Amino acid sequence: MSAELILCPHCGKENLPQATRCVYCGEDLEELFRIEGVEDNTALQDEPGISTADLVEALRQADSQKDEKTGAADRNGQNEAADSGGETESEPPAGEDEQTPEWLARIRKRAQQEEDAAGELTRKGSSLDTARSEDHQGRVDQEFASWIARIRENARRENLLTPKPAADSAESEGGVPEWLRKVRELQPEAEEEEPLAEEPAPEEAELKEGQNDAAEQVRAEEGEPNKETSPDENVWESASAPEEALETEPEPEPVREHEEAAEEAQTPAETPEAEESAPAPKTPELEPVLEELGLAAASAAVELEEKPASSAELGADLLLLRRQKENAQILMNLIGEEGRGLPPAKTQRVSGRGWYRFILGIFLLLVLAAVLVFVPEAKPGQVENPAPAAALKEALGRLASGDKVLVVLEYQAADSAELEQITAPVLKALQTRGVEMQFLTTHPNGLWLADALMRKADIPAHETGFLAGGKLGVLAAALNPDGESALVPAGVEKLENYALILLLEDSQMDIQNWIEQAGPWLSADKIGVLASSQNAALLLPYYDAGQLAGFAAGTTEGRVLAQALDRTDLPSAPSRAFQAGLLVMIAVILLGVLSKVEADSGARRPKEPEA
Amino acid sequence: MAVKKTVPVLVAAAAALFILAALFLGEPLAGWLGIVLNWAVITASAALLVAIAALILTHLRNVLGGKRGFLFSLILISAFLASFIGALVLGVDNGEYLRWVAAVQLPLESSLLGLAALVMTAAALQIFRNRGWSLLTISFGISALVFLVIALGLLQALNIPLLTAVLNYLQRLPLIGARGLLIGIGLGALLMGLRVVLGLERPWGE
Repeated sequence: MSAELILCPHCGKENLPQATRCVYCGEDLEELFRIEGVEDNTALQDEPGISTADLVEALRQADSQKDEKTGAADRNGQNEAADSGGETESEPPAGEDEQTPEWLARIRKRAQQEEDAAGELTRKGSSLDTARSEDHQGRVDQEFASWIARIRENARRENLLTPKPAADSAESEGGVPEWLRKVRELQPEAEEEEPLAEEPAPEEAELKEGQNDAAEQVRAEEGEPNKETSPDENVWESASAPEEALETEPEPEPVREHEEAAEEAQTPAETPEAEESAPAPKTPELEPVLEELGLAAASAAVELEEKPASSAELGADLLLLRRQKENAQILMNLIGEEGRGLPPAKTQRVSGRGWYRFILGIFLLLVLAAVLVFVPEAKPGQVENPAPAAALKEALGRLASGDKVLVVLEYQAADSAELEQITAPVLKALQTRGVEMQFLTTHPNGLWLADALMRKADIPAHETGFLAGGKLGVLAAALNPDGESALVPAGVEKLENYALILLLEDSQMDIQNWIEQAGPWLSADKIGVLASSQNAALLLPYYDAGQLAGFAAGTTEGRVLAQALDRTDLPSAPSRAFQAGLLVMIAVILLGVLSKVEADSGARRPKEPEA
Repeated sequence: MAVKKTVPVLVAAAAALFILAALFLGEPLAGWLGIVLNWAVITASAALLVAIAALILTHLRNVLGGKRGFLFSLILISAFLASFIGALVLGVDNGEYLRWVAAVQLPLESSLLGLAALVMTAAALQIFRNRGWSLLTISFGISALVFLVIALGLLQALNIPLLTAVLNYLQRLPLIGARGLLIGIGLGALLMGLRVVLGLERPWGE
């Protein structure tokens, strides 16, 4: 392995044969690349009268006599020799074998013997170099193309973002610089409020200072870098921006001086005072310079518009800036108002409207009282119960003496008045018929509500069992095969053994618990429901599906049911109170409608004089 | 950590599958189902006791720490102790004890419902002013008025056959909404159960 290494002629360290530089001292190792048999290239250089063209011609003639493959190897070998030889440019004249140098003859001979001896390495190297060069050239071309595309894209974006007036030139509008027009459009009031120039010198200084600030603000808002330059310089910079983008060379000093002179001549013409006064006298020395630079028009006094005629004439960026300022002002006002109380609402009271409202309210209350006092209560005999209540009446009518009925109390204390009015006649009728009743509750409230219910129904007190566990307890009661489940209260039999399970409900969830948990284990006509009126709609689908024997919801249906069971319903105080509550709700909704109509008419009234 | 997450899912899925199997197979698994239900009810009762203890401790800390609103915590603890000790001493079947509890709870719940009615009334008064005239408010107002008048029962008392038929028709209109509501509840419960069985939903928390 060490035999393949080459020694650096400078430091004497070993390097890899393919290294072109010494890894220790960094010196070139190119001179070590020698073609075998070429010991002295300097001798070739010293030969006079041999030019490169002659050498190439000789090689071509020699190659044309050989086959193509060998010829290629020869050319590679010559190229390699030329490359490794460095400055070797001289060749012996070709054409005759006698004149062929000895080293060339040896090369050709060796090339014939070893087909690719000379070109094996060089061919790989040259092909790699070719590929690299092509690849490199391609990358360069691609980079260049993308660079040009970026430049064009940036230019296009700048053109799109630049407002139209500015797109013409940086000094359109009669030579007024772009930054000055922006400042004037942003602060028209300030310019209007400024007095006319009686003392031009200080005002000019103030204006120039303000322009500097405004221009810096414009630059800052447009995202330009903050440069410590004067507005006039900005004018020049904006005017010469395209040129600067292409060539970054510093400007020649004389030109710069001309520009500064032109700017100085231009500045007085841009001031508001100058717009109203006569044109500023041009310095005779500067005139030719300005004309030469094409800025003569800029130095002339031009009538400028102090304010844009409309916001449509403003550039889009200027409108944006003005809107930003307004929004910032609004935000500051809001922050300033933070923590302060709301101002009192300034509502104009129309005289007489208070009396109108009072009379309307009194009228509604009188109607309500009249309904309660004079309108007769609906008689149960005149009302026909809906089908579910009729079905429940039939189920109750089928009960005979000795049949077992499980009464389940699942209502809250607040609904006890309504439920007791519905249930008490039914319980009394069952007691009269000799039906055996058992009481069960899944709510702790049911323990004391059952006592009140029995007293209302005027039936003997029964023990009320408490079924714990909610849904699980209901399912356990339904599954209680022998009546020995620990969850089910003592005395409660298998649910299937009862002729009817009468649920007293005010909650849809409790009704669903019984229908869904116990229902699958029971016959279809085992469950009847006495419920509060709001549950009627949700019970109907279960009845239509055959999962209920029937139900009666609300006091009206309860009274009809009691009538059907030959029982008189309870004294009707709860039902009249229920009617009173309903009437109040109706009156309130009507009041809401009238109030809205009144508000609409009141809002329409102030607009009529304007129209 | 994997066990902590996996075991509850497996227990829930196994319980759900067992309940489903018992519902479909019926009697063969009814006895086992009763045992599983006993376990579940006992576990739920123990959890309820823990919740009550946590509630009392929290309010006790509020009282001892003198936190804002500790007076309400004091009322809660006093009511709890009175009910608890009364039931322990007199028994839950004692008539006097039941009437005493009912005398407290009945006006409280009635007041709560009355308050709810007042809030709804105020909302009905304001809905037109706040929401203006729209399809929603107009339909709300008309339907509310119609069903309130029907619920009064005065029109039924007139005993006019045609009017009674119309009223019966109108009274069955809420059936449409009720069916949709029940179908939605059923589908939601089914999907929720499937998610629990598959472990996608963990109502017991992480």
